[in-house]
Amino acid sequence: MKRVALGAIVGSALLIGAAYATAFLPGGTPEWAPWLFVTGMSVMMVATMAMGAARNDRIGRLVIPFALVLVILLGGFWLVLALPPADPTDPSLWLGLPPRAAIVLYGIGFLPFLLVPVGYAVTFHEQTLGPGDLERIRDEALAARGTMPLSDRPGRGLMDDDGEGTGEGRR
Amino acid sequence: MTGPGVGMALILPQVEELPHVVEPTIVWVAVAYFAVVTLIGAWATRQTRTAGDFFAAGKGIGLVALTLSVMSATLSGFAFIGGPGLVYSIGLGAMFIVLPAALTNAMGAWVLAKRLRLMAEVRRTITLPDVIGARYRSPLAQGLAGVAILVAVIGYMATNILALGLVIDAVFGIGLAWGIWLGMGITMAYAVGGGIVAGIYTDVFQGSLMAVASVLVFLFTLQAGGGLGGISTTILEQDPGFLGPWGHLTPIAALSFFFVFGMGSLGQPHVVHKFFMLRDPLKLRWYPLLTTTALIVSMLLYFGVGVAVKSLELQGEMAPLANPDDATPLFLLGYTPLILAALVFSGVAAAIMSTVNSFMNIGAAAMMHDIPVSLGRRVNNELLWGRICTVIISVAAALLAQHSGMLVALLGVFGWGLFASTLVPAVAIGMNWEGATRAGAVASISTGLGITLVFETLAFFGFYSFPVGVTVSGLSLVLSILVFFGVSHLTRDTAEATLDPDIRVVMKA
Repeated sequence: MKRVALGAIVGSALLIGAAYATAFLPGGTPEWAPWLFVTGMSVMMVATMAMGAARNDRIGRLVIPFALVLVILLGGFWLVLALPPADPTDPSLWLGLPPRAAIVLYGIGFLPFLLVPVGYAVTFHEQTLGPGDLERIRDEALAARGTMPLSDRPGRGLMDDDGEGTGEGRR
Repeated sequence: MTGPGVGMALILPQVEELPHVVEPTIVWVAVAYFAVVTLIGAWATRQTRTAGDFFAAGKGIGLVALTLSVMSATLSGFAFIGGPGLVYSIGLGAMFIVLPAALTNAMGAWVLAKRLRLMAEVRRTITLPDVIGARYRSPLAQGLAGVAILVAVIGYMATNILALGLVIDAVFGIGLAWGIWLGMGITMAYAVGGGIVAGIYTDVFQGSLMAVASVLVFLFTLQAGGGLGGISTTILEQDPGFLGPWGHLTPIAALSFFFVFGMGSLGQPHVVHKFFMLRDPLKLRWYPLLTTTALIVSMLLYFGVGVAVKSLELQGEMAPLANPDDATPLFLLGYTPLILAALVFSGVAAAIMSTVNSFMNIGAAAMMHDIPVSLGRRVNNELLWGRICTVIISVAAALLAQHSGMLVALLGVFGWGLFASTLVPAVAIGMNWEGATRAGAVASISTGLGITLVFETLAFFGFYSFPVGVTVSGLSLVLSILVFFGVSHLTRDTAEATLDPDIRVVMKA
């Protein structure tokens, strides 16, 4: 899973980079450049979430919210790019906004809120941290580190309050 | 507003004078607000006895404190003054700055929260450069990240302190210079005494104030504009592009906002370093839901005031604004009860002070801890030096705000984009990918630092600007990501050697 997510991040960064590069072409940004940008950006954000959420190289039930968010972002942005501008003489409003503005604010801006933070909470114990995990992981990490003093390692945080640096965890 | 200048420069805190609103009610509410903040600061100072307390809230913080402090630190005064002004100026395109909020907190939680919290357990890390140094076994990478943070912090602080001075001058009518030093003095007093503990608990108070004020003002914007439908109909008749999907921006410029403020959120040290402090990591479960809710609620004012003022102007009820930043003050004074206006002005000061306080703390950590450590040195009394560095950074930023003229605007431009391009690849991706290498991290941080500083400076002085829609922050972020992957691939044989076994355990957790 993580390899797929990392590959998707690289691919989407290339798409975004290509979209930016088109702006340097003679004649300015072509009409298809925003399509590259929204595709790359949507994929990158979902792939980054998947990369972070993967545990034992699996994302489990999170595949559902991630897939839905990808559909919302890609579908929303593509719709916004494809739909014609609102007709000022006969404005139809969706929940008080012109259609394309409504897609941006309610769809892209709000709908993921109903999926992503809820998905995080629902799958927290299986996908992020369960009871006892913290102590287990800390013990495994301390065991893996062996006997080398923490003060000899780059990135070691604060000295202990007595200035000695025992390196035995934060508290 | 679609020229090359449209970019991060538009999201600065206000740097122009605000209309004076000196009214007894507003003054007394502001005095009461500052008194509460001072009391919290005094309490926090009594709780702060060690460097661990000062930089990492020693005994840790609870979920509500984490939620509100992240929300407060994320929103500067821009959310209440500059943001609505930007919506008023360029329409819906300005919403792309806040649009990723539905995703960013959960993304940060999955990508960073658990791993940073575990790093605090295993390595006692207190800063993102600490994490970089530990992850790559590289003092150089840690030092470079510390330099990037210090540069961005000074710039961010200078612009925010200037904004705070303007707000205090608008409320008390004491002049900009006194406003700058009064605001900075109060913030510094509690930051120096109580460190991050004071910051967190003033944020709780300030965040609550901001959320309540935002909801109330939003209801008044709907009332003044005839509901959202009425506002839209009025605007569509005379300025349909305003409510187009990109507002008056080009699509690429609006999408750059979404990209930089979405992915870039993973590299904002004043926000993500609070993950080190959560007392019970199992409480992270509710962090994205609560923080996202708080952010969305607090953003109602940003959108509501911007579109309502535009609608009122088109109806002829308000004169066109000479300065877009006047949108919030003039709407408050004309269309809301005075007590609510008073709350919002205190809320603006609250938002700025909470952001400045966070920057003071991480800037002091970079100066006192990250940069010396990268040079092989370590100060002995970290609490004392933390306090001294907080004072030095604060005074430097206030002097810059008061005397540097347009330089302060240039420094402010660096902020978010510099954090994003230097820290997202090395921290957010690096803490999740065992194939990342030290050379990849150093190259990506250098790329972000170089591109941002060089091209923002060239654009600011008018020597060279990227084409329409291309923002320095967006381009530097995507290039630093690509450089990170590219150099890590080229040096992949070294990946194993730059990853300590305990860090590997944390990454796999």
